[in-house]
Amino acid sequence: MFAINLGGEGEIPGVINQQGPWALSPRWFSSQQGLTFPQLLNAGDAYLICPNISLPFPDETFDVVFTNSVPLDRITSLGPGVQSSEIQRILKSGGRWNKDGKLEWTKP
Amino acid sequence: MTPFRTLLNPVPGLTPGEAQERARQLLKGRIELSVFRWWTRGQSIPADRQFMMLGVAVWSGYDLNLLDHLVSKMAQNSHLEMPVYVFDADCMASNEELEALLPGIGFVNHTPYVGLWKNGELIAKASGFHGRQLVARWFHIPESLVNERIVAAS
Repeated sequence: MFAINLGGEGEIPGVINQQGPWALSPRWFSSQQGLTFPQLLNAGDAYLICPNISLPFPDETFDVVFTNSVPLDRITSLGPGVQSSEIQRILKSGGRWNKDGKLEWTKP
Repeated sequence: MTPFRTLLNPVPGLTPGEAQERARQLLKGRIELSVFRWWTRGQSIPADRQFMMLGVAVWSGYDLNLLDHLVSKMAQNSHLEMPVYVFDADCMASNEELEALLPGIGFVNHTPYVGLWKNGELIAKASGFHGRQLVARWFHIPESLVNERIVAAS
């Protein structure tokens, strides 16, 4: 199973965690535990830093996309939040979007 | 009272983004029915001798969980009756706008946004994980409770 957690902080084992470029700021701290980005990396999880607006993956890449406590399809003070159109694009046919611990959508 | 965390729940017929927008619209009414006071960008800073301002995001399980624990704590302890003004964090379009409200808060990347005023002076401010810590310590809520990962109801 190939999975990504958009806005992830390592809370789901075995998946790629995506964060926006702001995570590279020395004043960035994770939401759940207040850890710096280097501390998160030291925990051994995989991270990808990229803007939410255009995820660097081909169409139909992932079996599962997770999102937890992230803004969807809106602009925040940091910039565009997670885009549902990108989630739909990068999911494989039959792939699942799990939002806030619940199955949100299965791609036809 | 309906727990604030239910604002995370999916809404039949709405996309997740639309459900978050609907939750934003519901937040003011939920706040006004609670122990909290509603504050909107553009209003002046409250004149109370001591108060807390708390900017929350309706899409953050952490923030909604914090509100629920705060409601519970304030209901149990009347001596904690310090006004808490809640506002929609998403109404802050930039870090500069937030800095104008909470001078010195610096770069913020997570909600909640928290400021504590006493005798007209901003005596403490923090955001994200550290903002929850500030609220928890001030109101004597165990930090483990406010750092729980909250998911939508099934």
